[in-house]
Amino acid sequence: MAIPIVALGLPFWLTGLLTRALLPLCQPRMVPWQDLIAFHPILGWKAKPDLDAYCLEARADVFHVRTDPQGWPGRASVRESAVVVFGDSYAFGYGVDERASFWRAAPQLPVKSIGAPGYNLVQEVLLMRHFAPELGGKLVVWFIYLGNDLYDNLSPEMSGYRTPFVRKVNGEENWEIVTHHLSLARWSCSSGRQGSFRRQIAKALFSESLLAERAYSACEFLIRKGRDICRHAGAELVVMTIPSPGLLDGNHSQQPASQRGIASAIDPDYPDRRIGEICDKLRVTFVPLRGRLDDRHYKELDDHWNESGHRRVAQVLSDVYRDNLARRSP
Amino acid sequence: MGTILLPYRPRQAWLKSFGLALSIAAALLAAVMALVGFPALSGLGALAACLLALAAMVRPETLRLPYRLWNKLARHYAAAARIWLLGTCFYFVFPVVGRAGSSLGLAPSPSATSHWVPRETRPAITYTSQHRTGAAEAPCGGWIRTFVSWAARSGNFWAIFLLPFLILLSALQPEEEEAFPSNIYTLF
Repeated sequence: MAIPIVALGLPFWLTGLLTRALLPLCQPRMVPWQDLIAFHPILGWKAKPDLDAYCLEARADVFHVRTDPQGWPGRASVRESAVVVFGDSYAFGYGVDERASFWRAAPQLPVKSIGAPGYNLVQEVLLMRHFAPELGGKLVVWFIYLGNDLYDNLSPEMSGYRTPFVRKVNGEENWEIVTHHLSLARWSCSSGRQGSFRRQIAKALFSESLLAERAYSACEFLIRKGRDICRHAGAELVVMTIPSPGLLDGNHSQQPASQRGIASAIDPDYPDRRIGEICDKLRVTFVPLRGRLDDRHYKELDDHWNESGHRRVAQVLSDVYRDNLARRSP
Repeated sequence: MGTILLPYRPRQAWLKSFGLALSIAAALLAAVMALVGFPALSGLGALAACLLALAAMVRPETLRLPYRLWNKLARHYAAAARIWLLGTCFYFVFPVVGRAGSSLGLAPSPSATSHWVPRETRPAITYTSQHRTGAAEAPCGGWIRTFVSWAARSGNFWAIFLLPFLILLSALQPEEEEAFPSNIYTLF
């Protein structure tokens, strides 16, 4: 009785079997994500050096990761680059093959990217300080991801991993960088921006609130630090904000359900306005990517850029570099 | 055994292997057509095989639409086939097998003895299975092996006749979502 139905479906059976049989030949050998990152006593964590591996992205495809002998994305060095980018997973090129990343997408402009997934601005300031001797004459572009960087600067942990952060000095308006708590031990004193706190935090940072005042004050402190490091090194600093894809214009219907409620309750331009005011005050060039990127430049199921997004960012970097050269030339 | 349905959101590797699978199928068809004396069809098949292989190796993204269409057809077939198979089981197989009798004592005993069956406490390991298994044994291997093992041990040899249908039904189930790796913020 089952024979007719099986016979009718023979093409589907055979195709399914053959597709599965050939899959191991078509799939690169993948390395677990945790094998790519290691603890670092000053930064909290860092990608391992000389990586050349394929990694499975959390919600989609496989991407190729390559790092230099120090563990930074790509194979170029800071010395041979005209533009040095500091950032988090966006600077790491998470989610796309290394050959399709923004530092490879503009071959006429040598770009070196320094970053790792999960980094906040504090870690990036520490990196700027470390690379200061090599930044002379270069354009330093600082990625600030508006989805989490502003809050993460204030948090001693990121998903349980201890991370450098900033806190107010007792009784003063000034801030200080804290790193003495870094260790391999999991952080268990607070839960950070996980779970149900995410929506409240996002709402608070995209509008006038106590948390926003703290976050943007910390942000100003860190941008000032970065500016001073770059000026002392003879480099030009550009702050470039990266919008969260769920809050791009007209994209609200494509957001995950957890974000739709946020989008309608906040001012999506608020962070750029605040950071723009900070950069204006500190005389730092500010380039918001909101308005230059749209939902076509982001992955379907992830906050990161797709290959088209990386090409677009490469184009923006080239424009910024050209404008900077024009400003500096006599 | 995998299902006939392919993953709903295929990675590049799936598109590549799908293209290569169709290319092999087209090449085989071309060979058959050549053998039975249809050179034109054979040529078309060979051309299709080459194009599919090229697309799979060079631009697997181009196969996304054919992949989705194929999977949609497979889904419709699987839904219809599941209904057919379940109907075959319920209306033909079970009634026939049921004539072999049952060890269940449903009819009341002619004598007035009790139907109470004393049960002993079972080892903890048997709680992984509803049926009495040896203390040293746990269900292992695939479900087919477990099923056959249960049928043999419990004396329900009739159930083995259901095995082909159960295998077919499992192959018609939608593909289970792959377990995704830890998120980006699980570092080390």
